[in-house]
Amino acid sequence: MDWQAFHLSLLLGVYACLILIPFSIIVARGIAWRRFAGRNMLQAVLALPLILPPTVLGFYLLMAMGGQSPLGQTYEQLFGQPLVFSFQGLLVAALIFNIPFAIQPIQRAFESIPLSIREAAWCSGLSSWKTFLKVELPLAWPGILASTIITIAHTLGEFGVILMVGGNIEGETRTIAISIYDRVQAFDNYSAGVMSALILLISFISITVIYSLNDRLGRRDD
Amino acid sequence: MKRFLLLFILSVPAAPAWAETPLVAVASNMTHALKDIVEQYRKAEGKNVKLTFGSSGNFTRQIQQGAPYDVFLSAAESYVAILAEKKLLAGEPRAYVHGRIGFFIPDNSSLRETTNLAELFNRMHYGDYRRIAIANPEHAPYGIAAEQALQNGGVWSISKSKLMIAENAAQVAQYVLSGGVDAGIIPESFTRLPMIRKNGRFLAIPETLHQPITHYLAVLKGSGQAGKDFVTYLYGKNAMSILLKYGYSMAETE
Amino acid sequence: MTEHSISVSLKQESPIPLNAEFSCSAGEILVIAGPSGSGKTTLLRSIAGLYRPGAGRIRCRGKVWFDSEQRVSVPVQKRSTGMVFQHYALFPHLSTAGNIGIALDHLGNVRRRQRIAQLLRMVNMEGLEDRLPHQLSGGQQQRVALARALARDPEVLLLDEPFSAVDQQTRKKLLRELALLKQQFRIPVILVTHDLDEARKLADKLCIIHHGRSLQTDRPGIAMTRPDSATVARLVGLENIFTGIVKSHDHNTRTTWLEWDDYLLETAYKPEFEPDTVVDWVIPSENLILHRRDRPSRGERENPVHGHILEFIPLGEMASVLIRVNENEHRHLSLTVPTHVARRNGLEQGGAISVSLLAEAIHLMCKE
Repeated sequence: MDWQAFHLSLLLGVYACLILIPFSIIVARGIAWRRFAGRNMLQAVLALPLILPPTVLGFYLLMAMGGQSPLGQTYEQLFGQPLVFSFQGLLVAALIFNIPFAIQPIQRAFESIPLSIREAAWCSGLSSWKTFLKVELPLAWPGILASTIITIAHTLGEFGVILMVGGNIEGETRTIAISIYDRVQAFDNYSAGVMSALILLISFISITVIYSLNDRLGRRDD
Repeated sequence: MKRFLLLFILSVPAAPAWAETPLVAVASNMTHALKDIVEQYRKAEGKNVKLTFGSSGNFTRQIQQGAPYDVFLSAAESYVAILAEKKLLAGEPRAYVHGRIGFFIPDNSSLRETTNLAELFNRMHYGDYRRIAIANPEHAPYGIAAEQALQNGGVWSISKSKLMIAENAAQVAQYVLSGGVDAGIIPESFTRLPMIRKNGRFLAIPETLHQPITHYLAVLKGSGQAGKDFVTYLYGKNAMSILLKYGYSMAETE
Repeated sequence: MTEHSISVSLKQESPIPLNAEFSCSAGEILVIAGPSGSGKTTLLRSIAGLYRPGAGRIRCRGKVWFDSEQRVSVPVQKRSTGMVFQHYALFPHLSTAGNIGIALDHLGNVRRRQRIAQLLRMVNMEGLEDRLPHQLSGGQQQRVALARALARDPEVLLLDEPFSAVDQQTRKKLLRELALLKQQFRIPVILVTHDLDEARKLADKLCIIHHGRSLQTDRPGIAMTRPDSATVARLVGLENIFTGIVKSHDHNTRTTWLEWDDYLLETAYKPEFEPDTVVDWVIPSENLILHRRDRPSRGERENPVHGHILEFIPLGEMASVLIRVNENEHRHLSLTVPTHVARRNGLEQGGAISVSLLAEAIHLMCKE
């Protein structure tokens, strides 16, 4: 059982959430309630990581972050180490490949809040900010929680992109999914089995929680 | 709960770990040999080494992109040559060991009756099998050697349509063991593994049937002293004896 | 215009055409009535600040809430409106007390609790402070919405289709509560509905809206018997709308003569219509008197009209009768008679029938 890899994966998931969830709340809320030109295109772009093969995503991320890229070179100048094949590089990748998982549940949650409720809040004297805090968030929290869980779970499981962008560096980019692959290649089926079972358990619990959260959202509409 | 989260979050890998412990990229065929060597190194010198196994081609690409390896054990000269040209090496690459290949025929294979190479080539000539796994002949040195052996054995044209391409040498063995493959060309060093020994037969391929698979050791630019120390150990008697045990032969050094 | 009232004047081409003007005084209930899609909810939302119309002015108690020329538009939160939404829009995650309390952010805890209790008493919801909206009946939810709307002492109370989703009993209670409230609060109350029956019962003033235009604003009694135009007549549910030509006026008998194809009708004296003017006219059904075989009366001499019964539909105690005048397909008169009278007079489909049109009730309107 490669605890270091597990720890690394969890850390990656948590950090990705810390950055992605607030961002998603802002973006998803905007998309949920506004009709603007290019709305469909924006939604399509944000959903891309869902459909793109991980290798395609990994390829583009490598081009964008690699040693030859402006981003990669700037980073290396600032921090003295390359962005690719580092934990920070994985974090950038995790932010990208988790976007649809973070945004969609939150968007659905906000969409399920009727406009009339927000209008009632405004008519009751609540500013936009107070309305967000006291009315919107309490109603949208199941979606936000679902987003968080699925982002972490998905990060634990992501393989292709991480392999391409991070390599397989112990303690730095060897996440648990990579570690499992590594163990299989080394004919260590026992370790691979233990880690896989753990991930399976975590995934199962995550999905169960998410379904019951969706239920909660759905029930309120009655 | 909050405190636990805080502790957890603060344990980020802030400074890159490669500062002290050298990071060694090893062509996957040497997986088990290097593991033994590193364990011995740890016992003998008290120092640790981090290993990553994979295909030489992949490592070369990664290193060009800035992957922070200190030492590269490549299964072919061409790759270290690329890195040398790109000025990514510290010093000259040195030839290290020769590797050998052979056919691994699992117990459930349709070819399991064959007991020698000539018989195997004969049966293969008649296309009497479903699939054969080799490492990718586009970029994996063991794959290139496998292709050469198959060509010289006169069975390449038939094999081509039954090829299962693995990403690297280690993955070949893994494909063969997971079933559905009648034979795979694997590094001879793998025969030391119980998993291989118990589950099939190994027929060595003579070196005359392919170009030598010469492994090269290179220290990468930016490597610390620890990396260089490890390379020195790798050329030492202890390391070499382990390698010989795994069926490698010494290459010409200076 | 008194100090404590609200005046609204809005104009817009698209996306929803609007051209409405009305005002409402303190303690008065103005009902904006019109068919679905007539723009009445948009008007209400404009007053609340939830919609920004193209042009116009909204002034409440001397304060300008919206003035397109001056480019003034006070945000929703700053306008002192109380709005009761059509489906109540209660916050599902808050209790009754919470729903009302959220509008009372500016008060300290003690004051807030007192105010909530006061409001709950006012709408007869005491004891239900801790219930969540889904635990309340439709009528109770409406009352919470009302309390919430009144929480901040608004300067105008707005209600969007308050009768649309409630049963008869709740409707009666609501009518009573609104009547009490308007007396108690001395604020203008503006209510939007498509239900003319309720409008008639509740309104001090009725504003008829059609395609975003305010056609007529009057006391309900007037709007519904003396509509300004044929359109308004139709909107307030009047039948018996026809076209005629004013022939002459007789100053001595105070009569105006109206030509209705082959009939010459006498109506109330309306000298403002020039002779030979084409007009629309309407007579409410209750002012058609049946010529009874069993009890002929003098009233039969007034504007007698003869025809055949096109439709005879008994509906319980009353029967609905549709008459085709003469052989003319296009002139249909509609009236209701008690079923027993209909039976006694042998009314049946296809049978001959005569009615009198009461002169005073014939209302002339300018042709549109």
